[in-house]
Amino acid sequence: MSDLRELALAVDALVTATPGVVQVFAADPALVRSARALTSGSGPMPLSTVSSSETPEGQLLSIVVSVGVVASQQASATALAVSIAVREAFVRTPPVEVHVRVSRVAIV
Amino acid sequence: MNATDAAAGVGGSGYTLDELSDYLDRGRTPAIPDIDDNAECQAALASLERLGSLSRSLVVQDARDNPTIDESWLGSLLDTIGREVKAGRDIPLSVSDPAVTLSITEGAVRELVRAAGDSVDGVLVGSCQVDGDIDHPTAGVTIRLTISVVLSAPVHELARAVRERVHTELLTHTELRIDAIDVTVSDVHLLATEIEGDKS
Repeated sequence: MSDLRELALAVDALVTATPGVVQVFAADPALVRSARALTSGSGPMPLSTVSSSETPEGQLLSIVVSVGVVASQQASATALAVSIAVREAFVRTPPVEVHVRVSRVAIV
Repeated sequence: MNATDAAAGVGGSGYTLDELSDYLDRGRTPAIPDIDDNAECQAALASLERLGSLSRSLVVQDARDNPTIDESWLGSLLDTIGREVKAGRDIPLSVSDPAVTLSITEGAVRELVRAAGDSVDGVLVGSCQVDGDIDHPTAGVTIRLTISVVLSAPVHELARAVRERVHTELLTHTELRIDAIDVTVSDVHLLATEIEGDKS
């Protein structure tokens, strides 16, 4: 569990640094996030989620991120850049599936 | 909003729209992570900020005859904003990598529409709906929005400007096939300065 938490914190940092991302939001509903906080002990709570599952092909990591993006470039382009950054960072781990959800487009 | 939704607050944060408004008035300090990390709360705060700055410049003509209508109009607008900031459905964005899913939430699209409409001078968006099968890129959708306008220009020109800005934003940030953007003008307001000018 703590390994996944560390991975999720790393994903948060990676996504925050991706050009075009304004903010990273909690990927889980607030209730799930509260429950997770209760069971995961002290320390910073990641916003993104990383979960692990066993598939017929072996272990699979599922990563979900929720982002707010700038309006000055296409939301899909920023979302794609986020997914590429995450995929490249996790190239040495078990297979990864990534869901990037654009939750806000910031019009200034 | 039903009782369960009300208890869960905006975006399940536990904070009501009124509490978010207070948070905004306090300059978002001290910071509350449950609000700051919640996309729906952030969308609500952005709408409240725009509403605050726009509504201050408006005077409801009817308020001279019925002073309570101003408050009820704002209250109804706040209710609508509270309902529409919900994330809603995930609208797919195309991607070639089978291990990657990209999406934009229905709430983000509604906020985009609302912000685009509000950016037209003298316009405040009331409600916004995305009607249609958003799961299939080839299926068309209809955007329906209601607006309040200040009579700074002919109503049809304001409505056309809203439609054009909304269309541009949707084309930029989504892959929805837009069949129609229906704009209904639900309220017409006069500028405070015009009303004062009438009195003199």
